[in-house]
Amino acid sequence: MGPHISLSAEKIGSLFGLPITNSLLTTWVVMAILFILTYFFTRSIQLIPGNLQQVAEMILDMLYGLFASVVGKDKIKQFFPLLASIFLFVMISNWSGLLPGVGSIKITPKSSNSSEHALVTQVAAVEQIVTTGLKPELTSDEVRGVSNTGEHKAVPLFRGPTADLNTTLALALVAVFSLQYFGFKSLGLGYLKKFINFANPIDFFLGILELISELAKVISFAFRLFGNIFAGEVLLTVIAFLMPVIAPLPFIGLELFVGVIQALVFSMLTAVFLNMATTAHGHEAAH
Amino acid sequence: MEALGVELPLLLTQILNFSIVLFVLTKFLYKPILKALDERRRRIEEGLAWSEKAQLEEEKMTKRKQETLREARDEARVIVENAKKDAQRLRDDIVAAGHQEVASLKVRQQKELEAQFEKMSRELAGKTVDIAAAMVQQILPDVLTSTNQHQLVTSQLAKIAKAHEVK
Repeated sequence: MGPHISLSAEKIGSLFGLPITNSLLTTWVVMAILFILTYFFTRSIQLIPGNLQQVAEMILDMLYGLFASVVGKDKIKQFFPLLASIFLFVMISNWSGLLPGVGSIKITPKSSNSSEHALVTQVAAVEQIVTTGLKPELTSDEVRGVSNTGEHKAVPLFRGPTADLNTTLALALVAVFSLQYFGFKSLGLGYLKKFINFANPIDFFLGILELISELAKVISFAFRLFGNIFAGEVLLTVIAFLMPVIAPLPFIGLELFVGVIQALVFSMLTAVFLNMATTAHGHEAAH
Repeated sequence: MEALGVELPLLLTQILNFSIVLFVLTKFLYKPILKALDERRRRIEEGLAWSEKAQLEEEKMTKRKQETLREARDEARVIVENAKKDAQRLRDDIVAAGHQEVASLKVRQQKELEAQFEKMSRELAGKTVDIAAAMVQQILPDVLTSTNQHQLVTSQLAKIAKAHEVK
């Protein structure tokens, strides 16, 4: 039995007909972490800040300055909540995939419709690896994420939210939708000129290209984040399978770094696109 | 897309999840923290402006204080000078008056002295004759014979009589 690698998030149960995947469960955990941190950070806001308030202020002030340098001082108030939320959510999600237990604690769902699903919690993958052998046996089906072993296969209880394409695609859709929303909000119907322009043939074709590029933004946002984080988890799984002790440490450090960078990339690109979408004659500044 | 694990219900759930995150963090994290930051920035700006104002005020006060001090010093000097002048004049006056007094006193004294002298010399003149007569009466009987005595007395008496007559 080789390391468990699945391209898609595994189902661990269902709730009111909604399939619950391990990445969805972890998303809720991430949300809980964010909300608990928020609670502790803002429990007592004072003019002379306590330690926790200072930490929160430091993080937010840094993000505020960073995004303000991209979108400008007059627009930052409007965009900051979205950008900071993307950054924090993506970063915590990326890091959550690195926690011990995520990916290694496994359960065997009884059936996809059963409400009592968590029957067996198996030992960590690391232990499985130690007891079962050293050679990874990746089948192409496992890599593609196609279920090939039936319903009673043990699956990880947790999975990094951003290692699931549903999450990254959702974030990408929210980001690109807000581009259109803020574009219309600040430019009115003039925003449409970017896409549909009959002034001259060049502008017309540029408009079509812009339309395609909006679509491409969704795809690039979603797959960039998913690809990076999923690749990192695969890398860690494989390294842990080959040599469970010490060897994964540098890679975990690397993945921590990648987690921040990807969060930064996602939010900064959103900031840049927002700035372009809300500036008149945006197509002149486009790539 | 199914091979990648994308399912519409999951996708919508994640959109909803992120919306909740966005809403909650905006309301409970960004707003209060940014408000606190703004508030502090405002307070610090106010404080700086205030301290600048206070500094200007203080400079003005110092300048005014120095000016006042200089004025006071000038005034004091004038007062002292005036007082000195007054004192000098007063002294001169007093001295002059003293001199005058002394002069007049001297004159009066002189007159008095002269008067006294005259009076005394007059008295002395009267007394001299008496004393002389007494002396003569005492001394002459021993020196002169009765003839001489008589002769002298008569001649003297004649002289006196003469002198009295002349007077």
